[in-house]
Amino acid sequence: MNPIPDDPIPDDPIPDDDAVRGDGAIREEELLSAYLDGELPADERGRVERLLAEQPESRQWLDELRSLRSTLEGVPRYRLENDFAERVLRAAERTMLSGEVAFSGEAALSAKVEGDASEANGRSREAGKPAPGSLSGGVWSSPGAGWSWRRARRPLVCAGLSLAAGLLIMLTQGHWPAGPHGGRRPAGPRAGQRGGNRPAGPHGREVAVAPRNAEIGAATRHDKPLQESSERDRVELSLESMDGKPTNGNADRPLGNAARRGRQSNKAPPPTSSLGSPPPATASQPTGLGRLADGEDSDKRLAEVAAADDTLLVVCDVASNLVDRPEFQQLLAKHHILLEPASVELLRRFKELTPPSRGEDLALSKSEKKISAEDGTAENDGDLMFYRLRRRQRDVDAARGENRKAAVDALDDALDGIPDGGEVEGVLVEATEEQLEAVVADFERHSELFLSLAVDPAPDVPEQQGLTACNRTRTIVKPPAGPASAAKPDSPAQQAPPAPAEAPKGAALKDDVDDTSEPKDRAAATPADDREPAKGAVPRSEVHGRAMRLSTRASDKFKLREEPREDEDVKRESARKAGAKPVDALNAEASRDKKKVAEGGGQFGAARQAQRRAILIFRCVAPDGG
Amino acid sequence: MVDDNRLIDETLAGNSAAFGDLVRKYQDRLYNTIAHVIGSPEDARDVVQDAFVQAFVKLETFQRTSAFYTWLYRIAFNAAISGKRRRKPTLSVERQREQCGEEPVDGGGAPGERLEQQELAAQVRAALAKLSEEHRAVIVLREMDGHDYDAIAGILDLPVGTVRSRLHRARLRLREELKQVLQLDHP
Repeated sequence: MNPIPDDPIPDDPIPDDDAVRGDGAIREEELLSAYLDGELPADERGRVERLLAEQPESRQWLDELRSLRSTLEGVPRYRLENDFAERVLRAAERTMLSGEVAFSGEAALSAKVEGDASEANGRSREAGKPAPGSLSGGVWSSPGAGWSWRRARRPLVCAGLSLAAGLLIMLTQGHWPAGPHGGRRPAGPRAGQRGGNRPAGPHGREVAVAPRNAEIGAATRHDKPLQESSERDRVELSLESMDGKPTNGNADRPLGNAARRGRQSNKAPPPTSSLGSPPPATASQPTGLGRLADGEDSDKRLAEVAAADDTLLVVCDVASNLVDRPEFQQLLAKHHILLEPASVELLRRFKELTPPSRGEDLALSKSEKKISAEDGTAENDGDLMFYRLRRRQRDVDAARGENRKAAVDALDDALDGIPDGGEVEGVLVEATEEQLEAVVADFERHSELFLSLAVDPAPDVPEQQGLTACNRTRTIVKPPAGPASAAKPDSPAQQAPPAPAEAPKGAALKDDVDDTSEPKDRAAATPADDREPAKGAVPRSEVHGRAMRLSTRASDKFKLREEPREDEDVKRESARKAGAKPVDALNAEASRDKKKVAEGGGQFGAARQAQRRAILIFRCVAPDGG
Repeated sequence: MVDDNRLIDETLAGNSAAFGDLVRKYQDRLYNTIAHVIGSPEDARDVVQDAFVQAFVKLETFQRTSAFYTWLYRIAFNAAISGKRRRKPTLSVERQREQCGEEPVDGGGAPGERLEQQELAAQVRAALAKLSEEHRAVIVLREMDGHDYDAIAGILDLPVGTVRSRLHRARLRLREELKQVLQLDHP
């Protein structure tokens, strides 16, 4: 069988058997390779076994091959979404309807496959019997799950024309498959102000225009309906994001664009703490993070999404296991924000958020102690969630410097003081500006949960001046727990605050939640397992924002830094002047700090042993325009 | 597990849902393979979809002298090759690197473990990207998809001996590229 006679795999530029076998050593290695695969005939297998018995280097080589195999086997597998088969069938149907055996530019492939099939096709033609793909006449109907083939050529043509017309209308009217978090809002005065033809990705990163059509094409090729459930959307996007396409663009833009946002004129009614009437939403237009509605202008949408790119970093010392607790989910749900489990998408966005610094770029990497900037500083030594800064030879765009630096500093500050093995809770919240502000306001009110709270960037960052409730750095410094509580951090009685931890589910926010509101109903329906995120607890029709959690353990190698950064810089400089290696100096310092914390000292040492720190990343998205 | 031939027969008899079963049976395996071979999960998705559609359209021409999946893989590999010509450049180490941590992964495990897996994946994929297309195809088919030499030979239209030598060479190259990873695992 040769399905591809016309276009075989290109000739192997690698010397094949005979050439390779000229070298005895290579030949033996090749035998070992085949031995590993169980592909040797008995005589050669015997030879290899003798080699293994006699030659340590052969055994070592085999071990290396096994190690390589093990490494490759450890690579996570790509998977397709569950409805992929249905899409294939729909695409097949479309192909049959359109009569295009060669589709999406795959004419060559078609010819190749045809090659293998030529004989069978010939037989079919001779017999006057249409092959399934020959489209000599017929149409798919859909009796239940499948289709059957029956003759009806004319309806086929009509259906094909309708499909083409629909596609044309969709393209010319600018229907646009929304990005993963693209909000939907009426066209605001900022629409189009980004200028040029470089619309922004969902996080404000610029994306080239060209991929837009490609994206539409991809969406239509995949027969992806313009409006699907947001759940499916999320799954698909996680696949699409594997090579970063939705946000594949210039990463050099500043993170914050609140200056733009602050001038936005079309704001959805804020879903206030008392709830009131939530912005209307429909299941088919699920969220501010959802898809375009029919007729919505994609250019406006892109501009709106661009304008909605804002990031706040809220750093809190929080009650233990806050993210897992129903109170937190309730608090978000009260503002119509659905807390979903962590996802790869979150990791990607977290990575996006954490900005480059001093020519470095963030990369997901194994947790390593080394950091090391080339100048010898170790300020990024603290790894959070297995991220570390990886040195890259890339200039930093000066324009992004300050904003990104502010975020870096905030993140660094957030990491400071977390004990070895301490836990950090991360939550990415994407919601409307009003939702975010209301949530932050609630954080302040619930100081039993949020023991300290700091919102970054600071108000002197111009981009954040459009904010109101969030537009200030505020720190609610609760008195740290005493040494006694640090001594037994695992004791529930010692954990601060004990009341919420022991309160019945849904009780902590009782005074805030409207009895008739959906969130309270959802709270009552919270699964028995506290650790189970309230996924799906918020009806889709009521979701106006999303939050995703990332809760993990800080690196064991995380170093304590109890001192303000400025002092560290001074110390580092002093150490450098003294000729000591800065990293060593910091390590020694960290050991001292660690000891100090273990003794209950340090600025927040005791409290931090009793509680956890949460990093809440708030990214504002457009309201859903209800 | 329903036999492939039976599903093919049912499909040819007009029950397209049977082909849906075939798709579900092989979609992830094929997708994983193609994604690693061409280095772009997104493009791989298109390739795999096209391959399945082509297989469906051409199903009657499938003579069953080989396994269905061999035929299917062959179609997909050709689609990948022809697609690659159109979408150059596809593979880049940078792109591979930037993919790290972004793909859905199998299995559970702690977040930290998953992240480590993803980092490993990024390193492996970056190393694969440095191999020639021929080496990459053969090693992915063997090590990541578990095909035996005969099947690989059928898919790639190569003599078995060539598969063996090429696989050996691919391993040499990949071992070199992953030296650090392997050393980390086996100090």
